[in-house]
Amino acid sequence: MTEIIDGHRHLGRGVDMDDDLGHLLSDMDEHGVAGTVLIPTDREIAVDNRAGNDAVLAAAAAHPARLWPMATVNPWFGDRAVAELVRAVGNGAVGLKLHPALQGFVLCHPMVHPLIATCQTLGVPVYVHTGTPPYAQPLQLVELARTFPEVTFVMGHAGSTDLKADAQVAATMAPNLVVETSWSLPARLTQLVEAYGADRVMFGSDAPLSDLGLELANHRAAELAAPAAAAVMGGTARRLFGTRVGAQGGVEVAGS
Amino acid sequence: MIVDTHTHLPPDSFFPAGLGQGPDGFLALCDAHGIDVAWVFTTAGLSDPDPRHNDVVREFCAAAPDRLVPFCTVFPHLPGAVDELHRAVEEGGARGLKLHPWLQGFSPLDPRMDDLGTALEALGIPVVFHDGTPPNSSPLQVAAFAERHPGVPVILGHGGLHDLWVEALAALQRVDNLWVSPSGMPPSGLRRMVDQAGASRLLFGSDAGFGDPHWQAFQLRKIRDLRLPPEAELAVLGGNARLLVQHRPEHQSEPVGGPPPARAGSFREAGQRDRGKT
Repeated sequence: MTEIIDGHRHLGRGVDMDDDLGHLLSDMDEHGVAGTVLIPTDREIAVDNRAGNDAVLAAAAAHPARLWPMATVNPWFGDRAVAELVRAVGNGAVGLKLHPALQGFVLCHPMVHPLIATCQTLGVPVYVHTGTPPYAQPLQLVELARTFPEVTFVMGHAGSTDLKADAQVAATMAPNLVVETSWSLPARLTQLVEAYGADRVMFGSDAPLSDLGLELANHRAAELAAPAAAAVMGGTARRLFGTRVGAQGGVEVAGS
Repeated sequence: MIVDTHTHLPPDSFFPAGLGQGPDGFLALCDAHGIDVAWVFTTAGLSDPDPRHNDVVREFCAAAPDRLVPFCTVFPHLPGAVDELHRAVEEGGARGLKLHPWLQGFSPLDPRMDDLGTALEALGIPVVFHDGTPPNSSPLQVAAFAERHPGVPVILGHGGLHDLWVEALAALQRVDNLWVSPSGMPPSGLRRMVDQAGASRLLFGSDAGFGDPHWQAFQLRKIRDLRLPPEAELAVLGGNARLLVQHRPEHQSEPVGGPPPARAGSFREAGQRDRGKT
């Protein structure tokens, strides 16, 4: 049976999202999800970065075999953002999440470069929400990925809703891009796998904004061939994040 | 009875993965999901102002007039738009208008839209807008058009999509003659819309034909996952839509899908019911 890893899910009560750890774990159980990458809520992504990071770090520390914490920092905080990123990764965060539309910056603006350089030093990937112009566009991510060719970038939501064509073309423009599939329907998933190759495609639910069951149903309906399905549903996430979770014995939390 | 209020005539070169070839294939897909009636829009005609696209939709729907409801489109900023609307409705039997401001390249608040609004009211037909994408298709732009033409049922075809569903919810609560087909809304946003604005001006619409045969199953499940009371779910899946096709001029024949539900009021009454909730 194909292992399922959810590469993108929010934890906590924000303004437009609401989930708690108990429900999250039971939702994973119900749908056979082995591991989940946890992202803070909308409010925490925008302004309250440290509280959000601590929440996902704590949840992952309590369930190290099943949960990966991903940190977020707002680049407008400058040096403090870099310091918070270093702290969170030191405590077990497996990557950086950026949301240019919520955080209010042009994705390829040089103001974000210190954060990306820090991720390169720390050896963690960068996940970026895309699909919300004018701030969070796939080609802006390509520009950033070309500036930092050693960093792996995840194109969140594959440019959904309106920038799918951009997301498709981006596959050939920057080899250090991986695409995350939430909000994609079956025909679209097939196109993404063809454009990127399955080992550059990662399942994510974006729950609780979207719904884990709905997103999994879309993937089942795509009827990907077994090797491709294994990569999309879990293999790509394992390659990006997996050494700290599951069979490897869980997250090491500094100071705990 | 399930009415899909948002489907696009397939296929064309830009959206090759559309629904089955011809009306038989499309109806087979609808049958697979228990969908009885579909409102059918053009796809190619949203980027090409040739009025023959309206004729293609009419001919497609003529294959099953009890199940396929033709909608027409016009380019509001081009000369003759109102004339083409009259032709498509009065000669072609179109039962509503579909507009896609960003594909067609106009603002819902363009002054020329007022002539179209007046014509829509005179014809007694609803208009479905693509919405959710600035700069020309924000829900509040569509709602402002609806406020200028309170006698016209105006439908947000996507409920603001991912990024502007908050606008769509505000608009639905403010404007009585506004309706929402939530294809493109996140399930969490749709839940909040139902909690805050009720379901009496909510429609089931899948956007089928615009790229993926799985759309209908996906969008149906979004509605069913709301776990509405049975009567409310029936209304969303079909009853509410039949209020809108019922609202139409005398020269047309029996409503598609048989007589409307006995409890149906006018679309205005539905709007005012919801206003009382908020």
